[in-house]
Parts: sequence; C-alpha cells; structure tokens
Amino acid sequence: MWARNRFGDGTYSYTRHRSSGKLSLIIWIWEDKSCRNPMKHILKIFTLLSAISAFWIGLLQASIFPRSYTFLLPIYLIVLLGCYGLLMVGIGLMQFPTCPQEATLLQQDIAEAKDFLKGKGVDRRRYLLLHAPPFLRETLFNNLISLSFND
Amino acid sequence: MEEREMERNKYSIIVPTYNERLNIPLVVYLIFKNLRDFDFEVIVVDDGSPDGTQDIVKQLQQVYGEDRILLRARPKKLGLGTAYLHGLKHASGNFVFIMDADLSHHPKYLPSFIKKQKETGASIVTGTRYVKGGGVHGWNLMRKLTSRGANVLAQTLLWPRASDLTGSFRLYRKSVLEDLINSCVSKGYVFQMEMIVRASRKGYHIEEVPITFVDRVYGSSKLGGSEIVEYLKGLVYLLFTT
Repeated sequence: MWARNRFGDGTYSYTRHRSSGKLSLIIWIWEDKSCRNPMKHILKIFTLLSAISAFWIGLLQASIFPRSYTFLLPIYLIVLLGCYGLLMVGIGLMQFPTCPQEATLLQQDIAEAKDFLKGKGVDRRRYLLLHAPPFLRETLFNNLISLSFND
Repeated sequence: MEEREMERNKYSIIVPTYNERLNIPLVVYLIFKNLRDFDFEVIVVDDGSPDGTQDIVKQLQQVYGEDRILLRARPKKLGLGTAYLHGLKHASGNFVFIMDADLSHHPKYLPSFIKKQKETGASIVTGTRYVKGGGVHGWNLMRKLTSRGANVLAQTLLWPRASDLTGSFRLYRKSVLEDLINSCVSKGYVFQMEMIVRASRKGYHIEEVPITFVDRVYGSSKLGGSEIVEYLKGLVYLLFTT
C-alpha cells in the first residue's frame, strides 16, 4: 500500500508501506498523513485512554495477577506519568542552555549600533524630553542625566 | 537553479512595536548589518506608541530608504495577531520573518533561518531556545523553572513537532502565514503556541534553528502576573480544538 505524505503547503512525497493490513492502516490514520479529515488531537488521546482501559479491564477479567494489584494499576500509571514529567522538568532545568557570552556580544553590537546612528544623526532620546508634559519633564530630566552616564 | 531561486526570494521582516523607541534603531541597524546579501524589507507595525517610536522610525527611513523600512502604524494597541495581519497586507516578499523589537531576538540569526529553509525546503522555521547551540541569559531559576514546566506540560498534552512553542522568532512562507493567522483566534503568546500547533496539525513542514535569547536590555518587559492562568487556559483550548 502506498502512502502519500502531503505537506500542508502542497508538496508531497510517496512512501511504500512494507506490510499491508489492519495494523498499518491504524498507524497510518494515527499519523494522519494524507488524510483529508485528520483526527482531532483530543480524540487521539481519548483513543489511547480507551485502549489502556480496555487492557486494564481485560487484566481484571483474566485474573492473572491478584485483584488488589490490578485495581491499583491506573494509580500506578498516573504516578508514573507524574514522575516522568518531573524528571523531564528536572533534566531540562539542569541542561538549560545558557549563553552569558551572548550578553557581552550584544553590548558590543549595541555600542557599534549607537556609534553608527550618532554618525547618521539619529537621536533616540531627544523626543522624550521635548514632548513630555511639564510635570514629567523634571523627573525625566533627572533620569536622563543618570542614564546618559551609560550612553 | 539555486542562485536564481536566491535572487527571487524576498524576505519581509514584520516587527510589531509598542514603546520601543530605544531599541528599534539598534534592531534595524543589526538587521541591515546581517542581511547584506539578501533582498528584504522591514515592516514596523507600531500600535500608537506614546514615546515617539514612529518618530524615530521616520528618522531611520531617511537613513536607509523608505522602500527598505516601511512604517505601518495603527491608532492604538490592537493585539499581536492583528499586528501580523496588518504587516502581511503590506508585505511584498514571499517569505515573512516575525521577531521582537526588544533585542531579545538577535538579528544575527536571520541568515541561519534562511539557510535552514533553503536546505530543507521547509514552510516554517522556528527559533528554539531549548536545544544545544541555543540558550538564554538573564533568566533566574524561577523563570527557567516555569518555562521548562510549561514546555513539558505542552509537549505531553499536545505532542507538537517543535521544541519551543512560545518563541516568536520565526520564518514563514507568506501563504502559510496567511493561512495560519486566519485560523488562529488566541491572544498574546498563546497565539504563538496556537500558530505552531495548528501548523503541526495541518502537516506543514516545520524545522528548527537554535537561537539565543538575552533578556530585555532597555524598557520594561510586557509580561504580567496572570500569565500562568492564561497559559493553562490556552493549553486546554488547544487540546480540545486542534
């Protein structure tokens, strides 16, 4: 069976499915490639939860494991999911890429930009003082004096 | 064939601004410095800033030319989505960049977006801060924690094909952007999330490029306090409607 992977912008490519049959059809619909009406995401989650529930009920019926354990299985799964989430957050936090050197590079770029703009006569601060209402002018003037030491 | 395609591509850079008088000239200078070999235009969509942002953009137009910098102002704050839409109407390129004007998105990454798009033929190229080669600076532990937690939650619930959902440094094909904006209804940064999730559902080819994000240099950040509630509401909305 051939699958047409259609990208939303009109381009598409063909891939060949190795096996035909119900399972590959299910996976194909799940991946919603080349479907005109792809399954809404909440439906996918619902399907997944239904499959897990069916499995759980099957386990209860089959009585392979003691009943008390099987009843608590959903709780275990939820706790597992929570732990997985916390683990991902923790790992992500530890591996969070930081770039302190970028701040210095940025300051260099800003200095370069300011010089260029001064040369071309573009004044970034002039408007604030000239067009501020009178009651604001004094505070702005004081702030600008302190700011201009860094400029 | 490659060179001919390069000559035909024009990039429109939409920069929504509000009270960015101090930052916008620096951003424009850096854009022009880094995109020397490409055909582009900068569209500044200003929402009626009271601090004179439009004034400074007019000064920049004198320096760089009115065909390279377009000032398309609006009377008051009308929202990010409509700002992009407004910018799109005046965009003459076939590719559209969106970026912030507060220097947290450094224009030096613009060529890497273009390169990635050419290599893969993608419709959307997103900048991501969470992969190696990217990164942040100026974030304290609390902010990193909320950002990471929000990201993990969104990944678990929504299964998007992107690692950074709330980032707003992106390159879109113009037709793709039009299609997405018309189907998104959220406000604020949830809007950015909705765009990438809807793009992922519609099957658009999305690629990622690492970018660095240095926190605001001048001016005040526009993030408020009720952002978490808004974010969760946005997640639930996206879960049920995409």
